[in-house]
Amino acid sequence: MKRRTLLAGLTIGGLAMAGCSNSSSGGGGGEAVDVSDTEMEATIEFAAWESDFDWDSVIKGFNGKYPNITVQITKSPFKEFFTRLQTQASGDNLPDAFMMNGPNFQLYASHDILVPFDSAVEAGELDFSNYPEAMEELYTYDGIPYAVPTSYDSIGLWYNKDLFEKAGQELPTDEWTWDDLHETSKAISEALKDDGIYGFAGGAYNQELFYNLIFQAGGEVLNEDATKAQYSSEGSREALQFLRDMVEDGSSPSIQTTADTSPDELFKSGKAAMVYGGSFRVQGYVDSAVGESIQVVRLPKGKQRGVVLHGGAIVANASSENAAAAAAFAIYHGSEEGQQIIGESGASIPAFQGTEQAYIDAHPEYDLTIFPESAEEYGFPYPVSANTQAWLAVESDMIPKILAGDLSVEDGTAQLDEKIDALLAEEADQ
Amino acid sequence: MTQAETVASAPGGTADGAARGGRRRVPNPDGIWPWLFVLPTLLGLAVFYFWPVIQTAYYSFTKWGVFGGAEFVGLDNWIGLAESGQVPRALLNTLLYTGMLLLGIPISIYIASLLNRPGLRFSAFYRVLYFAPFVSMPAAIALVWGMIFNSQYGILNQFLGIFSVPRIYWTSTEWVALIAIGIVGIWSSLGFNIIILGAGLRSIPSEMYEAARIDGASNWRQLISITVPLLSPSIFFLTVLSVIRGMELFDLIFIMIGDSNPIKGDTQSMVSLFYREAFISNNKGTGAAIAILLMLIIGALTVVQFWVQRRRARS
Amino acid sequence: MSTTTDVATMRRSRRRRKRRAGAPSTSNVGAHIILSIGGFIMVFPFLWQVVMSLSSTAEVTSVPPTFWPEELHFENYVEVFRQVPFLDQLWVSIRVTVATVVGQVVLCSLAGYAFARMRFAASATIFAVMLSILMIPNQAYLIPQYQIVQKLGWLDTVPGIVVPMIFSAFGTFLMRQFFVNLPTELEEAARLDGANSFQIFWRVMLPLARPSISALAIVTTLAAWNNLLWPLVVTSREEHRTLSVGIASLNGQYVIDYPVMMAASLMAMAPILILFIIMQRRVIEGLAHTGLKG
Repeated sequence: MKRRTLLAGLTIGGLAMAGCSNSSSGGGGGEAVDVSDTEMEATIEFAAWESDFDWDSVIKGFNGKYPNITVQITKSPFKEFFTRLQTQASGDNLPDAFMMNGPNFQLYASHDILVPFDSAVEAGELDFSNYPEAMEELYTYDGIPYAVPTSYDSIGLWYNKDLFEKAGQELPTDEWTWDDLHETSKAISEALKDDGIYGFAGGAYNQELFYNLIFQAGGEVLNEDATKAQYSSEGSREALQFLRDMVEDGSSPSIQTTADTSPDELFKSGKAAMVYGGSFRVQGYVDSAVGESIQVVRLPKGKQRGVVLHGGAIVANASSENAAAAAAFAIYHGSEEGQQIIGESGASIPAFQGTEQAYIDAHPEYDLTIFPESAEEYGFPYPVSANTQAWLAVESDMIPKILAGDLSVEDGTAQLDEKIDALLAEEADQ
Repeated sequence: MTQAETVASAPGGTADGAARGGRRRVPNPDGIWPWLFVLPTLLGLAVFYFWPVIQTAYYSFTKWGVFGGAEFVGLDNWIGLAESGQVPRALLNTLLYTGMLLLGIPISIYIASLLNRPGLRFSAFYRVLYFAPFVSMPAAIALVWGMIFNSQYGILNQFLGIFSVPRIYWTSTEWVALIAIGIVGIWSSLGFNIIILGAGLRSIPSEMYEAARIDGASNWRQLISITVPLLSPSIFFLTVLSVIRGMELFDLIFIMIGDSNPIKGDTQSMVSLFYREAFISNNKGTGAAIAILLMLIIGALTVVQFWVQRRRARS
Repeated sequence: MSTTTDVATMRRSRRRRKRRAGAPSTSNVGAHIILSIGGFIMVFPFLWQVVMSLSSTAEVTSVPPTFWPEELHFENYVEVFRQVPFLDQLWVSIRVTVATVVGQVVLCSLAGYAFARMRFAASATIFAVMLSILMIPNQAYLIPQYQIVQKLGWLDTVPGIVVPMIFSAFGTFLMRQFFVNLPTELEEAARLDGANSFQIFWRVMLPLARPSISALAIVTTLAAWNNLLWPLVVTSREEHRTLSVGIASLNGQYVIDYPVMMAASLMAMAPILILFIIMQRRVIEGLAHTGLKG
């Protein structure tokens, strides 16, 4: 709960500072842009990765308000998206507007690349109280917001009714605890062993799996100001140990298995009765073999409730000559109208609070309300730092080993902290 | 007959072997012509390659992030590389993969010799079959092979299961993953190797085989004593090519070894290590150092191959 | 050239005679068995791709795998055209590939010949340095080359994709090897006839080099056709992108539409495969006669 007060405090502080504006210290201030001219002419390039949003309709809607701005969209595969951006950055040739995510945001914000949106907030064009707190925190740097949120993801417990029936177990509820999860998984794994079916799909994803457990156990990934890693804190260790135990006693498959058959693949092919799945999985589940036998509930609680909140946003290139047009596009897509279009695709939860209904309605057969609800009630922001990708690489090297038992939880988390602390220290130098 | 002599007497030739070696050189009224011939290449190389290499070498001594600001740090990156312990393993993995590609050459020789049997029907059809992998898109190939190697539903494990072979985690077991990747590498290069070797085989006069058969040599003996030695220029060519391709290993790892894989850290290649440092960790200085290191290693390997070839040709 | 044609005719007639004489077709049964098994292994992933391209998404990731879909989803192929500007990108790929092949053949033959046959200052050193530079993997050149291409104003254009790709260590090495192995008598004879260096190259050497050029052309075609990272980085507009980029862009962050992707990559592979089938005999015969002797 202390965390939430802090979050609230940051939010208010951030808004207050944004209101005061022009506090652009060394790292971070592009010039403020004015988006009030709806007749402005420009052609802008918008770089995106394939995300199932109906960008064409968003652009059409945008042209309703700004008829003379042409938006050209360039799509790249997600895997290579940021490599491509970096290459363009080396030639000072970043697109006018582009999609952004949490792990990469601070890198760009701290180098004066992005257009600040504080002036837009001041002018009333943009209001962050429309978005979840965690989103605002994710995309604010040095007290100034540099992005307009697109959508966010929350995590839920998906389960397969048919498999539960087959194993004779009671269906999960919103009131479940970690122990319920463990016991039921074990029972299902044992009952359906001969079919090669597991109770819980497990895996080693961070956003979709262990970050949630870490927060629920009262642990942290990074400390408050992102200077030290906290994998060896009590709560974090508890969470990792819990997952490790499930692998060990057969409730979830071995890490080697989930390495080449991801948890969602196992779930989709009916080889796992439960999985922690993000709100972005809906589209994939609907088309799968189990689409008609599944349902979703809130994540089980540990010491407390918690869910990782991460979302995408659109940023604008401050050194582009069309920065104003790009910012206008970003703001439009984050407005109620734009967000409505985004929600209708059903790919992810639109960030504008109130428009989630479009997402929920896209697939009424599933209880999708739990996603925005849990995000609002107990969402923790996804952990980031100035150069998140660097230590994420180390995390993804070591966590699978810890969960697989190649390293003990004690030793593994200690080593992990050591390595990441070193990287975080380097960030401070840059 | 000139050609047979040429084959026998011409080694692969090192760069300076051309100047020495046992070859007469045309006395030289070449004048400015050589320069004109190489000018376009040299010019393009200077702009697009040589200058970047200088830049890269320079950056290897700096701390260089995504957004400019390269700060000189002397040998820090190099020392960091030496200490991190990742390079030796990445190098080992790369060499092992290269070794597997080289293993593909004897297999190719065998297949090519089968294809070249006189009177073999459907040889054109077989050739297309063997060449097909060479033609396809690496990304799709890696995806399909990933599915074939899948521990749960992959065809390979299902097939082995018929013989009661226990389930193998092809892409998530240390070292085994490298073998899996190597299999894909051999698979995709067989076609080209067979074409080259096939061409080489055709120019071996069949009289030699007839003579050997009359002397009572078995097929195997013929292969070893006639085919392989006379193919040695083609084989040399393919080994140099395989080494270059092997050292460039990246795509297969990028696609087949995912993030939740416990062996990810141990199964990097030199190029994937470079990519990781430069584009993921945003340590372009360290990445530059890895690139330079890789260049030196490949260069050394190539020199060694040329040298070995020269010595063999001389003996 | 007449020598080689005679050899070809002789060989063909010898083969025909052998067949008629009841050639050892029994001993070839073993060969057929091995070749068929091997051939099946080679082709299996494609057969699998074809099956996947006609399946539904659920069937593709099912455990155990679906060997034959319930219904044939031919619409996946149609879907490709919806999601990717296939014809535009096909055209770009063709232009890029042809330009790259032509560029490489020209540059590598010229340079290869010069390094093999001509004497000029420090040629050995230059050759060695050149080879080692070109052996650095392309990822390392990504950023510097991007900056250069940008300065030249070639971003998002075919020259931008092609020009850095026409320099090849393999190509120069290959051509040099070939020229080194040609007998010097040919050159001497031409010189006695009063030809200058270029004429010797153009009239005498180059025609003989057809086999090596064929090999180079094959390798370059495939590398250019399938190249992903560089074209992805250099281009922005969909219509300016190559096919390999377009197909890779089908991959979503979380959802890969396997059937459509497989359909797309089969369609992208088809032109090259067809080209090879048509050219196969020419290529192989060509390679065989003066032989790619390294």
